[in-house]
Amino acid sequence: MTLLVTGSSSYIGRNLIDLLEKKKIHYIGIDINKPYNKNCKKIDITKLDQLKRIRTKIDCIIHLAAVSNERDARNDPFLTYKVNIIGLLNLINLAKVKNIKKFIFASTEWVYENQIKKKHLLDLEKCPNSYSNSKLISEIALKSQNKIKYVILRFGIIYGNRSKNNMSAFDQIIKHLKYSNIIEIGSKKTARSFIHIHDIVRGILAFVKCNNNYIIDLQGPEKISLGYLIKNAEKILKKKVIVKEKNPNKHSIRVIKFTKNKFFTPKIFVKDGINKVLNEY
Amino acid sequence: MILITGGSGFIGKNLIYKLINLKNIRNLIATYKNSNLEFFKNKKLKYVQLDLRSEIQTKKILEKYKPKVIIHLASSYINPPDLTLDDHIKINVGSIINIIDYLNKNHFNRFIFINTSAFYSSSKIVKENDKLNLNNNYAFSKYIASKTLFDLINKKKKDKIIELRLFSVFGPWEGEGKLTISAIESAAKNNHFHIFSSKQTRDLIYIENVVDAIIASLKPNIEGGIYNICSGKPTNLLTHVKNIYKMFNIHNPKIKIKIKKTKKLNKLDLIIGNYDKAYKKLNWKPKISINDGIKKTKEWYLNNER
Repeated sequence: MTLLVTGSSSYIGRNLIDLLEKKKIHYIGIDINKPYNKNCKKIDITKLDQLKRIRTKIDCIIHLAAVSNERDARNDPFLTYKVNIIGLLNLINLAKVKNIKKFIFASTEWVYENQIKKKHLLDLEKCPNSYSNSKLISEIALKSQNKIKYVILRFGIIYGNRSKNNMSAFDQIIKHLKYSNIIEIGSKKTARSFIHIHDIVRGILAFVKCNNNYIIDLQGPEKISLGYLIKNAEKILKKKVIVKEKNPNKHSIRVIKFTKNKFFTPKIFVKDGINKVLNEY
Repeated sequence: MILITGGSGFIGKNLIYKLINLKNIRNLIATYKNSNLEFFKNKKLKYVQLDLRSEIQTKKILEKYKPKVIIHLASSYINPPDLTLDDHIKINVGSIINIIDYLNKNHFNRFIFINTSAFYSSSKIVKENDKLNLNNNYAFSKYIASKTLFDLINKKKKDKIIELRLFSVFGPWEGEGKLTISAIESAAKNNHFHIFSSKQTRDLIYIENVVDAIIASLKPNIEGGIYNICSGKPTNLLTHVKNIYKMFNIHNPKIKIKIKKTKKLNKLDLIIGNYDKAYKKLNWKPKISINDGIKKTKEWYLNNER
């Protein structure tokens, strides 16, 4: 079995490839940026002729390559649509040409309406930004293909060893608390179901084997409020922290539960997560 | 059952007008997004409100009527330039993507996608596979829409898909402020006319020719694919306006030109099409000349003046 991983030099891509190496699973990585290792090639997914240069027989595409956050998308909507939509179309094209029957697509919780009590998928006409727009269109595009088995993974907020520019609140708080006893945050009640990068890549790999179409919310195992996160950090770091809240009553709670399924369950809870972040730092 | 999206637009009105008068056409559904005036009243025709950006709404309508033919005219617009790239993508790519699922999962005879020539880049006589210029939001979204359609449709159904790339269409029911209609209006009142440049040249084509091309695409056993629908001739817009005035017997019209001489012409102003492919495969060519088109539009204008 050979996997094609797009966006192999990205944060998730690199972590996934580390896991594939560990599990000795055969793969080819492609990315527009510098190749991560010798199994990766520099290929631009917006150019079909470059994609068609891949000669190896592929069993499953894991499509991570994208303009992958709202801020980058806002800065360059043109590039966002080019990479996220034309890129996807080219990969679907490749799947047809090379008879690849399985497609795992990295989507996002941004396809849901923003202030959620109950999760509700955005309507395209109400879609507030280019990023969500491109991901929604991509999901519908993939769903229209009846010869490809698809798994759409809607990622939550990922933490664990991220680069400075894209650090989640989880990483930022833990890294700060390692050296400081005072922290300023918005509100303790603000909450997400943060998911650790190792759970993400395990989750992706788990779905390579399934044989049906799935749409999965890939989220962490629990609701983590900032207050709860700091309390746990205090226990692990064995110190008392002074928390200054800028807007204690202006909290945002956006907690989407992971979709229960028979292939994968996230297992990194807050304590393990904090320890991992501290060890990697 | 034929379903026409964008039924209240310029091309939609002209197409419906023709189709309701054809004997072999029995059932027409026309969709509109905003304006809910039922423009034509006819037993064969039913108007339905539909926002094609909505996956749920689109599915519902298509499942309800199960059209065997879809003529997809609904589109974003360039003028006024108030739409963002997001809007263009939502309208142009969103609508295609919401229809594709129906096409892949149901039996149909023909899907005709009315597209633009705005993304061609060559200044020569352009063919369907010529180089593209994706520098503006509208053209970019229209190109992605085309790519989406042909990349996502099932292989076996590709021959049922026809994309018509229209050049500069003019005629009755043209949107307000468009060149031909504005010039006719000004000439009728012997008013001043403002034109941007004396050098602008377009491949103008009269609307009835476009309607003919759509009807030609409805025939079975026609090869699917992309076809340019144009006159294949350059028309200088200043000359065009002067011709319109002449038809009102005004030989020295008061035309103000904003820019008399432009050093470099914008490439987009010089795009002339080639319709050899449409002639070969659809057996179509423009039958009504630009001058006859102006005459017809003038007649229409005078008979419809409020």
